[in-house]
Amino acid sequence: MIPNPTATRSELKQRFVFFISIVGIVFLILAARLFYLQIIKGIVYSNLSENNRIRAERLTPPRGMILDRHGRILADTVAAFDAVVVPSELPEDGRDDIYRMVSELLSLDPEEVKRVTEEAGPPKWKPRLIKRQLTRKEMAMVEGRRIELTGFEIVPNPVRHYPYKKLLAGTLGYMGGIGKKELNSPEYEDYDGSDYIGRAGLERQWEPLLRGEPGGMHTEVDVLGRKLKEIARKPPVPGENIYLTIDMELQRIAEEALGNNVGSVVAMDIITGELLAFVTEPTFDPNGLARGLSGDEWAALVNDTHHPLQNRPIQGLYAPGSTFKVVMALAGLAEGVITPSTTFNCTGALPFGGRDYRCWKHTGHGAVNLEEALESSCDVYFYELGLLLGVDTIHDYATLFGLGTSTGLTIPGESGGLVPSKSWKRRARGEPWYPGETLSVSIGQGYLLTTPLQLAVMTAALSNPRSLVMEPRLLLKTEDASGEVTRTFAPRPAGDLPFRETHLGMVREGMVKVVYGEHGTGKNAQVKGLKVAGKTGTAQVVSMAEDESGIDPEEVAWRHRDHALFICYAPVDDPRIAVSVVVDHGGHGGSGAAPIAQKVLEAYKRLFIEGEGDT
Amino acid sequence: MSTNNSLWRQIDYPFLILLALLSGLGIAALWSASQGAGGGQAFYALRQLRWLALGAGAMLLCSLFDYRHLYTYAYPIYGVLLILLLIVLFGGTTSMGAQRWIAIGPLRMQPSEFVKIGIAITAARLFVQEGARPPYGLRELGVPIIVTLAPMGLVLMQPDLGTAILVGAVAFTIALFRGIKRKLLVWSGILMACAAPVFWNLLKEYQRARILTFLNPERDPSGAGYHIIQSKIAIGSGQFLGKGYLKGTQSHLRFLPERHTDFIFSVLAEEWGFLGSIGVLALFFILILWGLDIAAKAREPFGRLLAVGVTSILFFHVMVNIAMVMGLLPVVGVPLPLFSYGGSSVLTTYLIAGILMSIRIRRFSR
Repeated sequence: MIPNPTATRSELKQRFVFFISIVGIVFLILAARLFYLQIIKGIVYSNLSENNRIRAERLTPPRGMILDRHGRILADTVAAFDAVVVPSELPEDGRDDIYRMVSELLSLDPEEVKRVTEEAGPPKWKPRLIKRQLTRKEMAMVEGRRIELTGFEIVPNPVRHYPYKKLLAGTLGYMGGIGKKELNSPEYEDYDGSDYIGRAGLERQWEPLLRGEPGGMHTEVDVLGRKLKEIARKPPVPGENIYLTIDMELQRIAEEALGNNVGSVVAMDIITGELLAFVTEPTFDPNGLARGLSGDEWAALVNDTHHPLQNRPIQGLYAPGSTFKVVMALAGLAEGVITPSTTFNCTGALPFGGRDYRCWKHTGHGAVNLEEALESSCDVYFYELGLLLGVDTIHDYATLFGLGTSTGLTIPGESGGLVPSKSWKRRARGEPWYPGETLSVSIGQGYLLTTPLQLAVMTAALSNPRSLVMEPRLLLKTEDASGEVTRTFAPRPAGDLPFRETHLGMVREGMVKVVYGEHGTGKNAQVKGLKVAGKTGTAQVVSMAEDESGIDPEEVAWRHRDHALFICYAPVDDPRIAVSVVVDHGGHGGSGAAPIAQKVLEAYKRLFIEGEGDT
Repeated sequence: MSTNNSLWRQIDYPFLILLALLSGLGIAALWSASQGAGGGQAFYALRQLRWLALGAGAMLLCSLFDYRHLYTYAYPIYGVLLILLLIVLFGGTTSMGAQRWIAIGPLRMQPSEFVKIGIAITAARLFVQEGARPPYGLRELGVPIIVTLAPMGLVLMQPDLGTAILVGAVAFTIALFRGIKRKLLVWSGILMACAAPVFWNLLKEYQRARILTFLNPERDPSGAGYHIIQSKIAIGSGQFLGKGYLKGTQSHLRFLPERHTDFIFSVLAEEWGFLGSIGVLALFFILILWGLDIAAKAREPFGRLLAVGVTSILFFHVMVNIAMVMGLLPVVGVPLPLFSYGGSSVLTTYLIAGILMSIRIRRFSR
């Protein structure tokens, strides 16, 4: 039986009086609000609704520009117009005729126009994209038949423009129309179907900053859609401009120097870490991507065997080859396993573990000390040194230079490279470390993998007067639309090198000999009036991932050729610029890469040292 | 025991007429609101009629069913609803970004709708069982609070903020009817004020946007603020006599969003004017007073509390919906009973009517 707790009559009555009062008050408020809206404000709202209608529009802010260190414009926007449809403004009858007419004028499929217009989902009063970037002729034709095409409109939608075309494209990235998937993701919450988004590089990384904040506007429109009065407005916040550390003139010269080669050039300010040139070849024209490529064009770009969409300075992984010997030399000196006068005898190969580890010079270098070994890039010397150090010690020193981890550059997709160690091999391969593998690592081969950017950072670090490992930077500052600086990016050391000045001096002297010595491998990097120190590298191409049957034999031969590397810094007495050059399958570093570095250094001297350029 | 014959004589005819009147006006408004909508004008109104017929059947069954059995089945009902909510969360269909539906064959149902009634039944039983005399403090209210928070939390996770708050409000109403210590009320008010910032952070981005937009519609004129502005224009432009049935321009030009569901009151206010909308408001007022009258005359406390609880569901729906379309509350997506299109809403309303009728019929029986 249900329990029956008693409450007195008066108590109950009190409760009901209380409840009825609350209900009464609420309904009184609702009635009062009705009275206010319909009687007091009735005329106002009536006028709003009668002849005129209110249209909601989004106000798209102008996208911020990207500029080089001197304010040269690398990316801006140009006027372009899209066709859109506002489904709620389409008449009830004769829609199919309108679809047909629009499709004819804009060469579209009427079924597709119908689908977009009548698709459920976004509110009917919001414009929907029909066609991007109309031609003048298309615009004129739609404008001319405006009366018949109720609901369809032409709206401005600026498109990204890159005045320098392919220059720096890999780093700038590109823009593209937003896709269905992105529209539904929270990252792009306040985007519209007609928006463009940054799809790679800086455009993507700095999308929110470059884009700004869209605003909105309510306007009264008449039956023909003409604007009569603005009712409410939230102004858009324009995107910010981004100044890069790049010098576009140096960039142009570096890209030209690389020419038709596949590869990369990185030029970095030794003191500040600012990147002055950042070249990847082959590359693409971002203007075409912003306009929208056809399926075939896109396929050609993606399937190109030379991967033009790859940004090689941060995504290309290369064995550093002999350029790694400068790290080996410093590690040996710091550990005390060698002195400058220690000599090893090179007979052209070092027998170890039952096989011969060859020097590049098959006839041998004879007895060589450190300086000579660097100058002539003797492999046997460094095999011996590697055996004295062991792979884990090599790993520890390589890591000090920033190898093996990504530099944290502000563009997406950077690789970290790989500096092997015994524990890494156990973890990653489930195998013990074989001593022979230490020999490979000692000359920059084997598991060791670096990016061209890391090589530049490494070179800058060992020539830095305060032994600082500077973080590479692409961004100088940002400013808002009124020109007010909103952010500056200060030089930031990522670490420092623990080497004694005398040891650094010896290695630097060895690098000078590479360029100027009798047996130097990098003589091609000499610049008149600028003292250069450098190191060549030739990285063997060991394994081929792709199937090569059916490929042009010339292409196959090219693919088996070694990668050419060159790292350098200048001026030797007051180091300011570090350069790394990697030419895919460029053959020897001295002949394939050093001449490119030479051109970059020459330009640097003209632009920066002789006072034409930098502040 | 009373005979079936005497039961018939106990039927509350004015209550039935009230329901029929509101349902009829609802269909008329829906007919107008669905002018020009996809699927032809009759589509929504006809489907709504089908739901109304189904609802009337459910009401009839409910009135014949002795509500006192609900006392016995209160906990099983509560348990089943909790399980359904869990199923919705982990296996439900997503619609408009929220998990609210489960499909049973061709039928899709929204268990969160029935949770409102379930919590009224469960809370009524809990308080009737409570031996201590009101007003109650935390000691007596502890169990009811936990019992309410469980389904509230599950509904909130769907996420359906509006329904979650409604579930809490129904339980609170029943507790308030029994009596809550004044000190506790004051303290919980203070606590809630303090917890508001925390709660704010728990809200989804779109929920926060809605509240911000409510406070300042111009903040987002192209997005959520648009609904409120357009709805106010529709209502206001109705003036005293309205634009006439089927002559509303705001709704037929499709400036009004969700005009056959959440914003249907704006449609009728535009077409029927102040006179018509105040009439509809008055009918709802009478309906709720009628519910309270049924509570007042109920035979015993369980029926009384149950009647208060289910009546409060109607009250909150009417209040929140109408306040929302007039820009007095944020847009939370609460339907207007018997007017907004939607099967779950119609069924819930008629179930409530059935429960009230069952209590009314048995006011003299023992």
